[in-house]
Amino acid sequence: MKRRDFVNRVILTGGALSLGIGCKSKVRTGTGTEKSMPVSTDTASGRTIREPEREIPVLAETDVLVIGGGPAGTAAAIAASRTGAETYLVERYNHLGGLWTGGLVLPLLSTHALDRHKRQRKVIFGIGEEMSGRLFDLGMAIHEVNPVIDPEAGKFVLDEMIREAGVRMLYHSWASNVIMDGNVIRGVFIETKSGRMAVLAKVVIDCTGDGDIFHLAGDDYDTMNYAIGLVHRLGNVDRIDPDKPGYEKKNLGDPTPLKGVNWVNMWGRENQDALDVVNLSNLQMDYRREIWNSVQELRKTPGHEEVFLLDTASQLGVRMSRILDGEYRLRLEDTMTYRSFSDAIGISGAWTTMLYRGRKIPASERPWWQIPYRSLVPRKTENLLVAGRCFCFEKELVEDTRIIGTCLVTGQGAGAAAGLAVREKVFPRNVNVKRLRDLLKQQGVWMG
Amino acid sequence: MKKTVTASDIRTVSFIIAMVSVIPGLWKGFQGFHAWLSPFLMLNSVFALKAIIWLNMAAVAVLAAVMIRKRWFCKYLCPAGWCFDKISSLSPFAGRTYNKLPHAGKWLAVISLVSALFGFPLFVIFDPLSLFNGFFLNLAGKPEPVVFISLLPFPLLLLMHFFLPGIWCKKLCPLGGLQTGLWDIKSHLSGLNLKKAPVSETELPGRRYFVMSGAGLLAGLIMPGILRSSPVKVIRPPGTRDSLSFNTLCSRCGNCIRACPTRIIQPLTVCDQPLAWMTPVIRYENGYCLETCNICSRVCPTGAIAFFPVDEKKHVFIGKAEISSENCYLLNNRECIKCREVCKYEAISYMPGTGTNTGVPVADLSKCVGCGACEIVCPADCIVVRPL
Ligand SMILES: Cc1cc2nc3c(=O)[nH]c(=O)nc-3n(C[C@H](O)[C@H](O)[C@H](O)COP(=O)(O)OP(=O)(O)OC[C@H]3O[C@@H](n4cnc5c(N)ncnc54)[C@H](O)[C@@H]3O)c2cc1C
Ligand code: SF4
Ligand code: SF4
Repeated sequence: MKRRDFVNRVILTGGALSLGIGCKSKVRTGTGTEKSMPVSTDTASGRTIREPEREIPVLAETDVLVIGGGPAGTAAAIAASRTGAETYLVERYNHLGGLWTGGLVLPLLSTHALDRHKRQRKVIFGIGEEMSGRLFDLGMAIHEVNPVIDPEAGKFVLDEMIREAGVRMLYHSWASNVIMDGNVIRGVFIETKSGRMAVLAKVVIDCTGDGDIFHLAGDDYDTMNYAIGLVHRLGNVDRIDPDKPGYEKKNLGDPTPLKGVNWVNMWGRENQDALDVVNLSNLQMDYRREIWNSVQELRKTPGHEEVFLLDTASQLGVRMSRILDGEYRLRLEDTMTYRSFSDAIGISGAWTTMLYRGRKIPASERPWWQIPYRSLVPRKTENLLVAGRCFCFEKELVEDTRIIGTCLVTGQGAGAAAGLAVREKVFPRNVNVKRLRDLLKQQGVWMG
Repeated sequence: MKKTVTASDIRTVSFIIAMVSVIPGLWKGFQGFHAWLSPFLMLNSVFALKAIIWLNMAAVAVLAAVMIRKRWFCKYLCPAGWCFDKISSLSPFAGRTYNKLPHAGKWLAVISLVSALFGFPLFVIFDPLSLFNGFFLNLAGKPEPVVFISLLPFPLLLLMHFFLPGIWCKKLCPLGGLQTGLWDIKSHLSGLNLKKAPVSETELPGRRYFVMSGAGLLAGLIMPGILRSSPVKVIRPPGTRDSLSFNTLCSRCGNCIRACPTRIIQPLTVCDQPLAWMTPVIRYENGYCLETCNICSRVCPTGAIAFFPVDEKKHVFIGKAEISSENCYLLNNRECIKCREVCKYEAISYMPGTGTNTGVPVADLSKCVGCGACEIVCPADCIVVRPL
């Protein structure tokens, strides 16, 4: 168990724990349990500054608070709101969909897998299915298996769905700290243009992808350095002239629903620390330059003159960072053997070939796999759930768990569970899994 | 009434155990265990390899028993003999004798053992336990039509016993020949020492043995040349000693083929390699050589696949990965690092590529053992493991 060692911590003032729940006024920062966000190790070594104690306005008190509006967070917020719980969704950028839209990672993978009768079938239903269905209706998704979407249409559809579900949206709000009462999370501080504010909630769902919230809450986790990339899109790929003298076939990425527009993935540099802000900044700048140069290079190739760089992703392509140490660690074996869990919250599919016990299991022959609710529940913190690419799984599984399809399933599971916990007035850990599964089935989730 | 257990009862039990032990994959280290009981295989292996391992002790014990009771193995243990006797008992020609026929089994035994001293035991394939076990070869893996040809010997022998009851055990079997030969020598010696009988009374088999040994010697000298003239370039199971003697040392019992948990060992059935016919080769189609496995080296009764501890696996080289990266996903902006992810020997790394690409997969051949994991996992078929 490797915890990141933050050398330079900004230590906040200690002080009496005053939580102000119920009183609409203010929350004081600087409780003993407050943890700081990571600060790059590149700053002057060991130096810290004490932040003065201050009063923070409470923006809202709600039932469910979802942090991070990626595929997981959006699905979580909609699912929670549909149970009747008042739900807030906090997103640091200006769009929903996270890497799926803002990261230009357009294919919704792992929608299909083999069922028990060895038939290839669709496995992702529920809110994820609604999203892709609406995108298909708009003509903004292609391919039935693992659909590729248009990012702007994705942002629009997700916004609409959030609106319809009655979720209260907070864009341009960066969750920066947690409000703890012992091991119970009571809310989150957000940094906004209106200053630092507090949102109090009965249940918080960490959908930041990087596990910012469970880290701040002091839960245990594993970290994983992985390749970080930056996706970009090319325009006018339909105007390439292969008959031009000197024409060469070039690698132009893959088609999107828009005519003449391709998305170009980037694996990027290996073994990157996604929790180091200086590193992220450097990568961002290097990648932008690399992409710019490579597209200029491309335009010089005969026949490709009209191709242009449409955009680079507004979110850097962070694949992995923290992995929760939850109540149950999903294992590779579980996903290969149709293991059924009594607390399964849904099923995901598979998109890569895997080796299991020395044998090759091609993507087309991989079984569907269930995701147990316990894998979303942190061990220490109460009232906190985790969904998206940082829930609790074995690293061997990373290629399947970090994928958009899986994030949508875990998101919806966590959202519904949070709603149920609020309704039944229990800690999410103690939610009745039978009723949770019934609720999810009502919400359209397929359980196998 | 008390029923006494007869030798034939014990042999029936032995037969049943032998049948169970050839079920593929089930019995791990006991796959085809009966082959370990054959003194013929054991002596060939020990002579050829000049080495002995503790599992050989089973056959050494049998050897001792054989010196005390004539053809003890045949009477108490041999599952093949059990089958032959069953057929013979159905034969209308019961009671046939073959006094005129030479005892070919003895010849096979002596020639094989002498050539084994040169590292090339010639007739291990005629060991009855190899024939028996080898028949069940097709229980593992996908049956190829050609494999059936190799399945014929044992049924043919069975059929033969309907017309010529008892012929194998009496005249043909090299294991039987070995036992009889040893018994002859023993009684000859005891005749010399104890009874002080005149030499002429018990026939001295020396001359004939001498001729046979000469044949074995000749074979031992010629074999390497023959084998070298058509070298076999294939991936062998891990622990295989050297490709030259492998073809003669391997008794084609199929133990390794049936034991392999990932079913990558298959019999070689290329017609232009008659000497290597039915020897085990590795083909990576749907499985790879597990980093945690040494089962083939544990079940090989002749030492053709030499035992190695699992910890040593990273030093047991069987092939080398060859990567041609034109189609590699990474160079085509797609998500993949499968080859590096599956390599348990950390042999694969990505060399910096140009532009926005991460890199090009390369295999470090000082670490790559040729396990095939990357070959089977690569979605773009970029990797092939080649024989060393
Ligand atoms: C280059 C690349 C290619 C990929 N290719 C594919 C692919 O082809 N198909 C596929 O299915 N998957 C692919 N993935 C994986 C997949 O896109 C992501 O793993 C998935 O989107 C994760 O969803 P998430 O909701 O958990 O997190 P994210 O999508 O990362 O969303 C997290 C959201 O939370 C917000 N957030 C984070 N921290 C805070 C905070 N402190 N306060 C407020 N908001 C915060 C972020 O802004 C973001 O919007 C790829 C990933 C990368 C990087
Ligand atoms: S064959 Fe491939 S996976 Fe196996 S050791 Fe060599 S490089 Fe690694
Ligand atoms: S597995 Fe194949 S496609 Fe994937 S990175 Fe390795 S060589 Fe490239």
